[in-house]
Amino acid sequence: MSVAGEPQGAAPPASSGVLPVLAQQLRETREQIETSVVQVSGSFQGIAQRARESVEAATNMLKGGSSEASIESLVATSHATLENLLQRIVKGGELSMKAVYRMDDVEDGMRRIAQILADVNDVATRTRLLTVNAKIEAARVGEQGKGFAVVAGEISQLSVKSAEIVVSITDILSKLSADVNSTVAGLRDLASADMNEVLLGKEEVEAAMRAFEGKHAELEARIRDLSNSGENLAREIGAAVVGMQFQDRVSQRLGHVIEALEECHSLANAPGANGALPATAMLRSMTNTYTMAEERDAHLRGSGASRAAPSASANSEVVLF
Amino acid sequence: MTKTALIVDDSVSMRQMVAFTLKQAGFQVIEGGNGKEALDRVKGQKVELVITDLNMPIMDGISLVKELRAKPDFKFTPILLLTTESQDTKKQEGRAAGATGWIVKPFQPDALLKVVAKVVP
Repeated sequence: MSVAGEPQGAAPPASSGVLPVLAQQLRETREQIETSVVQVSGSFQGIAQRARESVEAATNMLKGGSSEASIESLVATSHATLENLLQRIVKGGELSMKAVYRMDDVEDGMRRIAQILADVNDVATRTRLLTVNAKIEAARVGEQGKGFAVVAGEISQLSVKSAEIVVSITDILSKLSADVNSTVAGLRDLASADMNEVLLGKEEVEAAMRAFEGKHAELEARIRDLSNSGENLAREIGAAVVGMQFQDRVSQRLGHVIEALEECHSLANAPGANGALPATAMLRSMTNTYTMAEERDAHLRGSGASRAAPSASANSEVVLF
Repeated sequence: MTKTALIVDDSVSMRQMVAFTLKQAGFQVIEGGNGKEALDRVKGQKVELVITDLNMPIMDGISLVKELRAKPDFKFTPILLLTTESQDTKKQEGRAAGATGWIVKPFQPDALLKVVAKVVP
């Protein structure tokens, strides 16, 4: 309705300039929010990715990744290797002792040989005495005893030879005996030293393994905590992703408000309108732009048609056709 | 083999969140700010999944779905509409256009990945 006396095509009321300003404010606010959220979103993605990688690295360290041994398996392998090494050293000590026992047998054998040689020497000595007696008898018999004297002489030479052989063998045996004694003494010392070293080493290794396993258990507990916190991390990242989507909804709602303000401005400035707004038509037009249930609810509350408080965002609906 | 997803939304932050979620499942992504931009970006590309918003300037989601379904390479490609719209009429419009599914924003990452695992074997 035009003001009386005012010419046709008069300038619109000054208040109509307010709406474009409001629209521009909202437009720029929307842009600022989008810019900030995009930056925050980018940083969030980097943080989330690094957090995931840390948890994954910790889990791999504990359990082993595709190309690495885990701490667990390394501890087990080290334990097994050291046990194996100790057993081999013990075995070495046992073999040394067996060698000592064998050398004892050799010594026994040599003593028996010496005894036999002594018996042979005794036989040789008696044989010589016998030949002396035989020669004396042969001489007493005279001419008929000459053959007998020759035989006695040969036997005497054989007994002398036997005695010489016995002496040679006895010499060799003496040297062998000395060598065997020396070897046995050395082996006994070696076996004894090995076993002492093994026992000492075994205690030290076991103490070190216990300390290592203790530390590993602590480390495992800490890494398990970190790995478990990965589940919490995943939940929190999921919640953050849902939260970061607020900008899209806010942007859409602001966009609809801006459209409504611009339409208000157009209608208020239409020829003949003179700043008046067809409110009912305007409100109906606004509802047609809404895409979200929360916009429709806000419209009802704003227009006094509903007093219900804003409800929490509904869970995301998923439908497969 | 790495699969490719086309993500279309006029909201940069929405594209970021969808891309972040799909990359966790091993996808590489192509992005578009509206339907027309998306059609330009997928020329000559093999795409195993499309996730698109509904309300976008220049070319909206429904039009994009129809354009893609008309292409031989996209006849059977899973296309999910990811939108703030919750009205049944719009949902039926998406179904009629050839969309595979409908997800109302805001999406839960786990729920989105479950749906993707179902439609992209």
